[in-house]
Amino acid sequence: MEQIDQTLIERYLAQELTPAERANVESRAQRDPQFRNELEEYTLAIEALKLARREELKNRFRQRDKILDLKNNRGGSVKRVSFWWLAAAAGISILVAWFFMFTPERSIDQAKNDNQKKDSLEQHQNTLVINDTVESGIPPQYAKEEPVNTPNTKNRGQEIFAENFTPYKDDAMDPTSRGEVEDMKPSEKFQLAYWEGEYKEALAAFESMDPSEKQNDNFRFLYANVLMALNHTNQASLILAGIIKNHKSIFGAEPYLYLALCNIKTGKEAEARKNLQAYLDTPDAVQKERAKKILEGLK
Amino acid sequence: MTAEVMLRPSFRHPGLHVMEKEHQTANALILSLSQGNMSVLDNLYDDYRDDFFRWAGQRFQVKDRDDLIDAWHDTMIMFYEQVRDKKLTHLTCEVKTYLFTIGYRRLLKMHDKSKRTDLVDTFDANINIDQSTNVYESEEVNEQQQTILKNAVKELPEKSRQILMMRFMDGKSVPEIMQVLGYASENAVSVTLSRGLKKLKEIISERMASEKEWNR
Repeated sequence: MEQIDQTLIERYLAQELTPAERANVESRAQRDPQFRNELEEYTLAIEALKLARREELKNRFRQRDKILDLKNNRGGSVKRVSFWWLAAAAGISILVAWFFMFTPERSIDQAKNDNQKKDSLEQHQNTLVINDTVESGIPPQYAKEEPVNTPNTKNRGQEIFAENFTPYKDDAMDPTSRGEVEDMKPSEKFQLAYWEGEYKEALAAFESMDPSEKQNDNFRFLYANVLMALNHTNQASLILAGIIKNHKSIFGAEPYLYLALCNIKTGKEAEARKNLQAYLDTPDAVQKERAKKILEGLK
Repeated sequence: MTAEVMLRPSFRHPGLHVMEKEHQTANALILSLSQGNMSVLDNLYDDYRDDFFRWAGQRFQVKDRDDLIDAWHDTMIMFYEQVRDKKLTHLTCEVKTYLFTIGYRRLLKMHDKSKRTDLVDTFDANINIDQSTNVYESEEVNEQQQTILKNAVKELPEKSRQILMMRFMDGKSVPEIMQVLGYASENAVSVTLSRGLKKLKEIISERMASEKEWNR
């Protein structure tokens, strides 16, 4: 068969011919037995490809069945424990609310610079202990927001927060080179979900991570951002304060900025100013313009 | 032939604008799938699988859950093939209704074939889908030949197989394949493509001839 015929048949099989060209091919197949035979053989080759694709799809669906069945089974166990989560969460929420209502406010800088810093630090460390308890014991969706200083301050704070908060991202965090989601470790799923802005999924993935990873301040910084995105500002504040105290995070001064945003949202403007100033005083801060703008907004 | 689904007049109701919006969504999904977005298929699969099991389970006394799974797999494959082959370009009903109708017919076919499932009642989805949607084209090819065809593809070099799948199953043009697979020229793609297709045709012809000889 001539090359021109094969090209014609290829285009016919790829459904790229015009109706007139198609009719020509079919008409020639009726008249020319050799051409018809070629066309039939090539059509069988396409049929083979269709069968191969069908096999691929069946394998794909079998994989999805596994995932769906697993999800359905997990769903059942979640339902069984949800009542106990709720009961425990309600109890601990009351304790957390009580804690915030009766604990004096302190910023990280106050804790550093104040003459009473020893007392303050101890108080702060107590806070972090409670933070750890909260993290391990209460699903964040049940965490309660702290009381407000004054309604006006909080309204303004919420506006500033809304204008300026976007979860921290930089190019080094881009996980696009990773493999299939089902093969990922919880920490990889967490990073992927975070990068894609799926914060509820990121939260669920974080909760499935190894305890040692959950103590890692780099993951904790992103986790704090997730909590902020999901409106769990108090819990985020406690984590960010802990990260600042530890000085182990690769995110440098960034926790100061995000802690300041938490302060602003909860109406603690004085603390926010101090944390913003601390951020601006740090050479490696990468969002200084934003910090300056926020500070201006607070004046 | 285009497997368009028509609504009967009695099915139309005052909330028609809502349905039309749903149809627009369905048509957007079909368009996206026809352009090779397989996540559309995954999402439809996930969204309606369990509903289909419940719904079909009520209508048929299916003794084996695997039968329902097989029917759902076949349903989704048929839907995919209708879209890929441009036989289904738009819907005038919800995708779910369309899928369940194909699934229902698939179960009926399995019922007729194996008598393993018991039919409970008839199903009228008020839609008109061409009966040919219920039949794989390859069902006209016998089992032995199907095995030959499947094995023939496995004998191809990986690169050839990949190019042929992209060209004839995913509907990619030669320039698109060149870009995706990083070929230096369109001619290089065309040559590999033609050789691969010819090779596949030759393997099949050879195996089919041997089978004929064997069965003589």
